[in-house]
Amino acid sequence: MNDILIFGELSISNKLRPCVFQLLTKANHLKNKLNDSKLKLLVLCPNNSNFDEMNSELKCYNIDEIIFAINDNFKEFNSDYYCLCIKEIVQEINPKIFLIGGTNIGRTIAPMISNSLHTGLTADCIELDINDEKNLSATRPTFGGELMATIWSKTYPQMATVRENVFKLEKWEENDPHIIFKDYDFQEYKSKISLIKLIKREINSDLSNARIILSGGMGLKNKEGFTKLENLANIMGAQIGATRLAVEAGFASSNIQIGQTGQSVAADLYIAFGISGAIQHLCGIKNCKKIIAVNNDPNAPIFNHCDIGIVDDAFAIIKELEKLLLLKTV
Amino acid sequence: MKQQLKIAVCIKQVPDTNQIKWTQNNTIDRTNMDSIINLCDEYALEMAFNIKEAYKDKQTQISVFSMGPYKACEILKYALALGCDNAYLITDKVFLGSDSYITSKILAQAIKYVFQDEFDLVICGQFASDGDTAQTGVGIAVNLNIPVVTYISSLIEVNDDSIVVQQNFEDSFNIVKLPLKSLMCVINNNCKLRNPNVLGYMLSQRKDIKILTANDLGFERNQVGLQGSPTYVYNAYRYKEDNNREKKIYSGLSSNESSKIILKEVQKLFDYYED
Repeated sequence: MNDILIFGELSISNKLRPCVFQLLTKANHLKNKLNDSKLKLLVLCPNNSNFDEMNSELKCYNIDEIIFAINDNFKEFNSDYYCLCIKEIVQEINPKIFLIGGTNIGRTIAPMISNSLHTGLTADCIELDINDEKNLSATRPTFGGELMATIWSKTYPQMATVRENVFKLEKWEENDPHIIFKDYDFQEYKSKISLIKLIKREINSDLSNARIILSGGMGLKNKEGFTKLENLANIMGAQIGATRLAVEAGFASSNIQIGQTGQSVAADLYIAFGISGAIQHLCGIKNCKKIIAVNNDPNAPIFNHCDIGIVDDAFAIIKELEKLLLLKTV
Repeated sequence: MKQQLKIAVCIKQVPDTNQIKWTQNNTIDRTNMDSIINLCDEYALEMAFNIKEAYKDKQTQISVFSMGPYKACEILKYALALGCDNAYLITDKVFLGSDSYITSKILAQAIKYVFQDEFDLVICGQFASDGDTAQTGVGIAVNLNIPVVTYISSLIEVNDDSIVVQQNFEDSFNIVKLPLKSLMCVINNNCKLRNPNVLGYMLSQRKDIKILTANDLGFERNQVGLQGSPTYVYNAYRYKEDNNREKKIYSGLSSNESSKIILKEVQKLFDYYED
């Protein structure tokens, strides 16, 4: 029972989500530190799925076994059907480690599975490793983003969720995983939850390819503060982003949220206005080429994670930048 | 048709992270930090009141539960002032160090203890701003053996034996029907929250907060807290500073001078793009 199991979540268009490949990448590194460990992937899908396409996408990740659990109840997400099936298959496989993407679906089913299997779960990890006792060592930010905690689990399977885009992607030489098709039978069981309607969501604020991002935190104080930032962004040809707290406070819309909860960005230039630098936020911007931070608190942690730091009032800088840019173009 | 509706709402007291001040060592300055009700839990309470108002012909009773130290009575009093009917503080020193798996077990046990099996809905916030594991609500549902719907942003309609809600996922909005006797995890949807009024505060003075201990709930010391939890913190450390960054800090410059430094970086990029 040294196996690692990955949950292969599908998007609403029935494609494997990016987090699946990212978890498979990380799992390869974990597997190398375990003896006699197999890497397995579990995908729940309806009958008419494009298995060939999925198999070809999964060729380069050293997977030992792919289990397709098939039932038309998996056409759309239902936590009851998902959990019943996953729980049974996990018990059959008896893996040492079970990893799930930290998506809405992942964050719903992971605690359901862990509670029904009476095992521990560490949510939203940013690093996973194998410790000297050959167990999972899961690291996550904790308490207001101040500390990192490395969490161990006394029970098996050792479960963890990881948000999308936290881990990078690597590929290996093509291999031929053993493929199992399993027609899953719910017998008499019927879920009491039903989906009445699904409305596809257009995500029009994809920041993953933005070159310059101006981002605001609680230091921008209110919605008007973000309007000022948006004006500056328009003049500069930049896109805007926001921290989780600013979104929660209603200053900015959740589709521009940057950080571990929200989008991970890799801009050429990231300018943070009034952002103190909680770990959750820093995790989402670590791949930016250059980071400039503007904050009036010289002790703000963001100053330990930037290339250029300006200790000044965010609004004073926004105003001045606007003035300079307008002067220049006239 | 059942005339009574019993709702349990679980809430948590958290540090007010909106007011974080940093010490010189980049740690959170806790000396003057306030404790507040977790934001998602305010929306959970709001959801309970919305449901109560939507079920005009049912007599609805809202009970609020919180696990934590005595200080958490503050948020229970606030919930009573908003109009909740009963409040329960689940507190015991043996609960200290419980992870979310055990916390779910304890809260579920408290709900069973108070209602036996006679409740219709449990409402939780989707996540807490301090831990953000988003596991406790779902865990309570599993322990109570009832269906759960997560990421609920709003109430659409109520029927005699079911409720229809909107669930917000990354790439879809789902309109979901859930049965009575289920658990709802509610997110912040930026709707306007009600505030307690003077009458509410006055009425809440007459309501007691009932205390539930490990003994009441039938837990042995080794079943809960650090000992009972399947996960434990092996090591906690400060997030190391990023040594790949230049960390050139300018303070005491005029805003004009600082802005010119920023613009120089912007200009460098545009020059680079043009090449």
